[in-house]
Amino acid sequence: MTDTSLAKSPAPAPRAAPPLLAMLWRDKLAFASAVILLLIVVAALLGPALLGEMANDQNLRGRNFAPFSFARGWQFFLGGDSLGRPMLARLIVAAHSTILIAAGTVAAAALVGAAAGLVAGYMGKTTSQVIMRLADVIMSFPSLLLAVVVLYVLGPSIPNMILVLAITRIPIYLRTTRAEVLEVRERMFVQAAVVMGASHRRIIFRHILPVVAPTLLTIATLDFAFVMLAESSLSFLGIGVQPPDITWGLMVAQGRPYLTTAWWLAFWPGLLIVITALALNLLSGWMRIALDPNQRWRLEARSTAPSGAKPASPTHG
Amino acid sequence: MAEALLTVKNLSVDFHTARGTVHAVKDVSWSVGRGETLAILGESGSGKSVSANAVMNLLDTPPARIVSGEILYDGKDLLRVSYEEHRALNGKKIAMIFQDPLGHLNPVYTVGWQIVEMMTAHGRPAAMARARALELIARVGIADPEAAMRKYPHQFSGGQRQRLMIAMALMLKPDILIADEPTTALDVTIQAEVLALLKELQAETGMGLVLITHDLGVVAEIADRVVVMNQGEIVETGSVRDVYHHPQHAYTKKLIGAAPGKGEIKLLEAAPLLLETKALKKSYGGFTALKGASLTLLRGQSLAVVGESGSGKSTLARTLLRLEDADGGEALWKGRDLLRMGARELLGVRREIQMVFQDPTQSLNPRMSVYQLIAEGWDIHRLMPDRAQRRARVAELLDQVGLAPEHAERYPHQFSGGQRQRIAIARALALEPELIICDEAVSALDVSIQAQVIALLDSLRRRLGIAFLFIAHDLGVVRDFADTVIVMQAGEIVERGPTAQIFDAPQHPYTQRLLAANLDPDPDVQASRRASIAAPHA
Repeated sequence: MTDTSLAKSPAPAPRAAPPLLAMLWRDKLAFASAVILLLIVVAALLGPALLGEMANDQNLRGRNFAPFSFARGWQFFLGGDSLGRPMLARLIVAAHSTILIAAGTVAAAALVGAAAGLVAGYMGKTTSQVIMRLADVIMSFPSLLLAVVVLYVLGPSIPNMILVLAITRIPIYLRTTRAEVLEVRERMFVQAAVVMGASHRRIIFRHILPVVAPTLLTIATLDFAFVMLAESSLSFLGIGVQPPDITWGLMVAQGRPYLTTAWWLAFWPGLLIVITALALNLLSGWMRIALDPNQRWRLEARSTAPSGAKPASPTHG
Repeated sequence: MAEALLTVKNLSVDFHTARGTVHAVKDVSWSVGRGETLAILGESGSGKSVSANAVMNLLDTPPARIVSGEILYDGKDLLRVSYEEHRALNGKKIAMIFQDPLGHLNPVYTVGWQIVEMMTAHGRPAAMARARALELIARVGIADPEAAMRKYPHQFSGGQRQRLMIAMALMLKPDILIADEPTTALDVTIQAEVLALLKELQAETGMGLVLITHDLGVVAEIADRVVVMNQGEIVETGSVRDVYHHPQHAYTKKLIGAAPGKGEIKLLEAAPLLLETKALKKSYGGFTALKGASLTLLRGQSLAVVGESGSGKSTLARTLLRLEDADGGEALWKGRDLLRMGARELLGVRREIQMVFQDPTQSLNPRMSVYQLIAEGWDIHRLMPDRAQRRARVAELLDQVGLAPEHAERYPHQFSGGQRQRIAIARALALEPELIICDEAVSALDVSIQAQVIALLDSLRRRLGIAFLFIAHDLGVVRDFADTVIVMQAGEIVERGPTAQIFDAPQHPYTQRLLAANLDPDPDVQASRRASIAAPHA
């Protein structure tokens, strides 16, 4: 029989998938991003407990103290704010609420949006229509106005902010997921699963979701920065995070009047938002490749990554 | 041999890819003379299109790089002329038609506009171009050329579109026509018509024709000389008759040997009834895809359903698999009606009936490893909970379809097309089905691999007693594999019977037409057939 001839014909040399950490190390930019994000998470978890008091300690002689000097101790290295509180300590403490709100919002919106999108894409026309029209209602209502109304009624608090922001972001995930599901469910391998007798649950979670997930991941990382800024505008209006609680977005908003005289009030928190968003983006790009068996070889083959990219100084976190 | 019109000399082209340099063609030389037809024969990845694309300056550089060689036309080396000079030749002196005419016609312009543009783009007056277009559209056999000029590409059938592409290519009376798989996407009867048309036009105009194909039958039908390519190299060249009857190179011998339709015809053995359909109906809106199909299938039988596109053969499979709901009729699976089963009962039947799809690249989830793909059926039907036992069985199945057990950890993209189809077959076998429905399961594969997969399916049928419902348009493959044949046309079964009877004494005119249009790889058989049967023109 001719069977054996094919068995010998070579598929590309066997490569066991290397552990994730090794693949992360191959992509130096993604590795640096992971380190930065880890530092930010650590700061968010431990910051309030360790530096909470210092961050709210007013010192009028240190008002708008210029950065890059150790004259008032390490905590004033990045300068002092308009009430003489140390910027560095405040930045670390602010990571807590910032990350909590942004991560909570993105996770909630992505979860609800993706679930609704999967249902809308997979189920029949009527269900889909109802879900899509609901999304249209949310989208047609100015998101900030909605947030103002709801927060005014419910009262400003972090859970309420997460709720409001998440609702306004749901349609993005929903529409993307639905569009992708509509395409993926017509693919042959989904039909093959139907023929084998796979349940709806299995088809959705085993065959459709893994194909849709990378797109959602990319949107989620882009959304992270957006949510941080949206939260700052709510805080700016006084219905968001309430002082003495602080977030990076609020710090940017509060520092805006001083931009000409004390640039560092708005610059450092702004820089942190940018770094966080960038790191998330790089990491999600890596993850998309690492999780796709078709693309994974890029991370396996590249033994020496371009070393031009220096990780941003972790002291910012 | 006539004086060479176009000569390719020692052409080598490399492609730079992320995985290193690929030598797409190595030291390739061929030439075509006036009034001559040269076929470039090869399987996918053999580099058969590359040299023709180099002639037309269609290679993207990079990633392609022409390492060496020259292409001589009219005393000029086409690889060294300026872009403008090349453009003046393209279309005017050397024209090209492609496999997929729909992809090469712009959907937002009328066909007439596009054909006329071919001439006006080369600076001819519009009125003259229009007159020539009308003349050619009529010549390629399209009724009412005036009306056809005003229509859009989607309003024509595949065969008509290919005729229009040919008309377009001939607008400027080119010296050379390059046809890249011009009939691969067409049904057999249409293919025969288009090839006949190409031949007539060549006789009229005396142009040189370069035909790129993977199909030995097409070569036998139309070509004077043939160049056989394998892995970027020309392994054999000569007259079609010489190459077919006295192949020198091992690859050519293998290719000719693999051509389907030469084996022994199988006989149906008596066995218990497995599946019986009665007056199965299905329509989509106003279009009736299936007008009451009745058939019986015995245990271990291989039943082929033959027909051209739109004949309803895929709809038949889809309704049997409950991927579509039938509008009427019955399908009795071991006495129980498949079409009216509840979800629970259906799940049990889903285990007994498996399917192998046409394109394994699409029917295997790219994010699952081979092990996961094969084991999925056990997950679904809650069989074999023991992991070690599963591993052993996957290894066994892979071995059964001619793959190695260590392939289990790889992903589909790491395999070739034929190997992927083997994975799909292993997946179907995992549930120990009693019936496997193959929807054009081998038509996307190269001939040599096609022969291997057919041999594999046949051995499985004999060893495991699995019945096959084998949907195909390639009669050669059907002749090799099936013991019973059903011929479908426009949603109806027009003829049925044992394979030998259908092939030797077809009763229905449509069956006769199908068989006549089917191209034999032997040029002599093909020539005598041409002489005896006047191919009917639609």
